[in-house]
Amino acid sequence: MIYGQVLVDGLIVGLIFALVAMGLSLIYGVMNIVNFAHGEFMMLAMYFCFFLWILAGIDPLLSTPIAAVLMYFVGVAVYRVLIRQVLQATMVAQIFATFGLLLFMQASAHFLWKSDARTIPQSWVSGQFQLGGLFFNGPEVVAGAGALMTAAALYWFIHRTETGLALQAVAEDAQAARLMGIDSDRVFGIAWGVSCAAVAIGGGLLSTYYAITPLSGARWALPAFVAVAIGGFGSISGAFLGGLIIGVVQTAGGFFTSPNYKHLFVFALYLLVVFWRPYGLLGRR
Amino acid sequence: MRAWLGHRVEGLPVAAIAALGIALAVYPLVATLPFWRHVVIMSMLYGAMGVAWNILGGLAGQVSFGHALYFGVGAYAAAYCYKVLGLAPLVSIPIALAVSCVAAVLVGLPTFRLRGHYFVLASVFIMEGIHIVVSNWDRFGAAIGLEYPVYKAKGFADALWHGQFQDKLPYYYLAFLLLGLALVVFRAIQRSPFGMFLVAIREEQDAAQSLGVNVARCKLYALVASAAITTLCGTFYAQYVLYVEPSSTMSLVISLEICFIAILGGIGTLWGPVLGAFVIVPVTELLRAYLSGRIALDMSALADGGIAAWLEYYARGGGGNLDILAYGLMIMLIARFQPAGVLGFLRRID
Amino acid sequence: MAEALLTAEGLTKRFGGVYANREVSFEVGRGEIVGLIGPNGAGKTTLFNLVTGFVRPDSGRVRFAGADVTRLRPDRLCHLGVARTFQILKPFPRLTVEENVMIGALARGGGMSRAREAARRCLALVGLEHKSGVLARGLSTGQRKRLEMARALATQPQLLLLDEITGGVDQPSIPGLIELVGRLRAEGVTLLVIEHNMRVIMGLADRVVFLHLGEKLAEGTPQAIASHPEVIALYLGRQHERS
Repeated sequence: MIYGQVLVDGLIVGLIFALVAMGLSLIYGVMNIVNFAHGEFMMLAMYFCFFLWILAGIDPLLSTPIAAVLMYFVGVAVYRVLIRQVLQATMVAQIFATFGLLLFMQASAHFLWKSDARTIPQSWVSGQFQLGGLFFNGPEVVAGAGALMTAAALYWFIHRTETGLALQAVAEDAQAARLMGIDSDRVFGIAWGVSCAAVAIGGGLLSTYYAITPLSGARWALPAFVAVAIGGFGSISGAFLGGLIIGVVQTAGGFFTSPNYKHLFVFALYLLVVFWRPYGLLGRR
Repeated sequence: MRAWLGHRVEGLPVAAIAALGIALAVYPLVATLPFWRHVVIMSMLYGAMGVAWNILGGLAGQVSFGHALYFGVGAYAAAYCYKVLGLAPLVSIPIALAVSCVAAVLVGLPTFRLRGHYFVLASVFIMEGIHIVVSNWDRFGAAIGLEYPVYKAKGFADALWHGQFQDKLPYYYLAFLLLGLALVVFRAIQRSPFGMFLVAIREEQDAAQSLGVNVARCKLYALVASAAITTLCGTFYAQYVLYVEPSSTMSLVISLEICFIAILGGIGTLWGPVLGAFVIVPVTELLRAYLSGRIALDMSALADGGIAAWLEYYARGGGGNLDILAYGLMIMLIARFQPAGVLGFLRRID
Repeated sequence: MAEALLTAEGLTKRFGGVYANREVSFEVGRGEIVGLIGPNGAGKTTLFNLVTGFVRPDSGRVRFAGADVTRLRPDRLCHLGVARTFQILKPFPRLTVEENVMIGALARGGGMSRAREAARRCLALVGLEHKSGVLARGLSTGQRKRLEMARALATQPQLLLLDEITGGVDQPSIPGLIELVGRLRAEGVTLLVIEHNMRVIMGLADRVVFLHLGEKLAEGTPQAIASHPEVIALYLGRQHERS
């Protein structure tokens, strides 16, 4: 039973990782940029939900969609102001652009809101329940379900809408897409917006039970990179699967040793995977 | 003599190098305030690390975001040897170098097969992994770290043996030597066949291999050389601040600082990292000094104080971390406007 | 045929389910020029990669100067005397032409000054000495081909594999490149050459190996190959139609 509990807990956490990883992989797939600041958008959404809750009493579940819409525009703006200019630059310059953004956003949050952990102790989904001998936390289950729904919507968006197909075309071959009349600049902007909106939903859902600090986003994004690498950089469904895997590995690892070491297992998993298959478990090339 | 002085070493005439070197050597005799000495000590220390990083990152083109690992190895080895084993720095330095050499080989052998982002992330995760282990290992003080017992030296030789000085001056000249050592090693490698091989690997790995270059071995040697100097810097740092903890020695931010300094000045160049360090380090040190001790207001008290209280709160530095904020902004702006680094302007471009 | 310098025995390589090379066997005698021809996708470049150690064969062996070299890395093979050029040229773009060639010379040992001398000699041989101070990325395609040859020569190879002598080169440069290959043979280098231009191959090669869909279909003198019915049907006929 205890193994079942660990597995279920891991999968629920894994759904959030999957959502974070899918956004990362989307950006990488479309423009070959690793967005180190991905978690920081999540952190912003968490603070957003926290402040709406404490100042106006709005439940995080209500403010999450608002955060997603806001973060969409933040993502587009970041693309326009910063990323567009480093698209043709070296990998190092691109890493510096997004890593600089990470430091900037993290430190800004620190400056504005201090490093104190903030929590939302009471929301609509608070509470626990038991089902089939397994224990569930209301907020975690809702967050997992929300992440799953968002992931499904993201998948639908990429595979079934015209904009999504344009995204795929640009990811496949930007030059050819341009010849087909696809405005790659606009598509890149949309990719950033959608990616940030997705991770913002993850942040909003997390804010119902997870402590909010300037570092909260990074705690989720760093393992999500592993999920992206496991799935093969750029593969959306691979990132989803990778997210579930690291969720289970992290939960199980933390359970059998100490929660302090849970990330260690995820990092080790990354090394194992890339040494075995240098382009990721599901990756091609 | 005059011809020799006019001879250029990577664009800088020997006369200018000598003048800068002398200026740097005389500086602490003029600037007697500890803070101003400290700023230049840290600049030279980071300069040395940037130069060391450049052996692997600049010459061989292997961008490592995990170099703080070797810095941490040096710092922890020195602190642990001194505090727990009672060994003097002169004894702990070879130990630190041996550990860092082993670490470099263990890291390098598997990761050098990876390319692009996979390599970058591997270097990050290995360092973060070691960070987690060290911050949970009581033997190394876990998250609190190791603090040196303060030693009251009897005379200069005794102080040198214990690696602890009351005054900043000896530290200053040790850092000066470290920077010089790093530059000499870099220059020697750069002008050797080995250095040519590293550049060939950076430019076109397959072609280099087809011309007889043992790619794996060259990368590994470059990493070991780079790690060794970085470890020396770590040892110096521990002896200088007399306190080591995981997040100020083995963190992603330190890693980033090291390679950013090298890249800002001009990746792959001899003088680039020095220039980078003397720009970045003073700015961050000044910001840190300006802000420390200014955060006096409690946030909870602000609610009643109105907008004026909030403004005052932020004017005093808010929740802190303004130095990192500025740092991130600087990195972003440089990546956006001058991706090749400052010395990028000066490099040969056909 | 002279004593065999290079022997390929039953080389097979699959990528996914597709055979890039299947049971390919051939020999190159010391001092010979052997041409390797075949339509696009025939597996010529993969065969080069198998012989030079960039790709490991699924089965089969490679013997060089009597020794089994099947699983050796490219750099080890280089030290034994096998050098190559690349179809997609791979100069070191931000090094000067002379530095490019020095890398090849340095692999043979000796210091920087000896390598510089060797580089000058090789550059003179390929006719690029006037470009020695220029960055390699500033060269034309024909000049880059010469640079790759000079670089490979600097490693003092016994066997040199040239992946397309004239591909992508403008018409006026072609005779010079052909003449250069002849000069290399005179220097005592054995050559295995991939080439699409039949006129070039007919003039240069002692023997020709014809590959199709990864398999060796024919081998013989250029004249014999040119009149071989299968080669005409699969390759030469189509070349004629195109031109």
